[in-house]
Amino acid sequence: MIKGKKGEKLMSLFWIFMLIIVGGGVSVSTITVYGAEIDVRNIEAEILNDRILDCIVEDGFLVEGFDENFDVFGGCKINSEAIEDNFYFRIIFTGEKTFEIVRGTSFETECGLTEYNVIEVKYFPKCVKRVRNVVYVDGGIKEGSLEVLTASNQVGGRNVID
Amino acid sequence: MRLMCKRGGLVLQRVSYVLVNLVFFFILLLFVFKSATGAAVYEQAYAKQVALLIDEAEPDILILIDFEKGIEVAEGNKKTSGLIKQDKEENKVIVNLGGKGGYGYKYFSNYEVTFYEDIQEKVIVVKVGDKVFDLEGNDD
Repeated sequence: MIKGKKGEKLMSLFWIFMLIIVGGGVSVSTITVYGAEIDVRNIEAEILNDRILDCIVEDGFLVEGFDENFDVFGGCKINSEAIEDNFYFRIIFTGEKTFEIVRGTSFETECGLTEYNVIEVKYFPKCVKRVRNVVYVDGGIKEGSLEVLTASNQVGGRNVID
Repeated sequence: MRLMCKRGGLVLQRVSYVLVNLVFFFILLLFVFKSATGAAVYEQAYAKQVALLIDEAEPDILILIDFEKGIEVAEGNKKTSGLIKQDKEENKVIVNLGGKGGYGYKYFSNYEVTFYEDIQEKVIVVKVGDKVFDLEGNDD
């Protein structure tokens, strides 16, 4: 009689333990699969890079008025507030004079660390760098190069209802 | 009498064991089923798709995005309107297919942008620029 009772208690504990394991495993798997984040930061960085290059370079020529004070936001129709939070760009022009235009959250260090795909860190931004040879007019036709580095670290989220 | 009470106790024990198991697995399956309707995944996918298309678009363009699956998911969650919203202050796309508040994603384009769902045609209509006609050919 005592043996039977002990056996029953052990079975109950084992049963509860199994329920916890099964329930926990199924819940974790479901949340992992259906809660996964779709990462589009690389595509975003590419689009931003294209947007900047397309507005600064036309048919291989630098647009008129492009200098260190060029209004990238106004000229390229980019929202400055959206950029300040989750994006970064650095434009380096090298010609007779060299200057750079930098805006946004500074991801330069992170981009440098992940540049050659040696390391990959989940929460680092995704960076895209493009270099173009350009021609510009400055008392004659001259050649230079334009390097545009863009980065995106935007992570969307659930919208809070007001 | 004592024997009958003992037997009754055993039956009650077995029945409660089966019932607890049934309730547990029912709750578990309900949780999986609710997750699998995919409202959260589709909200995220559509919000990011619309935001990226806006960022990439040149001005004066009309974009139509297939929204059939999204409408299907929303109808499953008894939601038939306000599936996609625009927050002009934050430059954000918000897609709500029945989840709490929906999913928001920002775009960086500063062109004049408007978008809305067209339930009849099962598409999301995105207009980028000032001089864009809608589906009926009307100017804004």
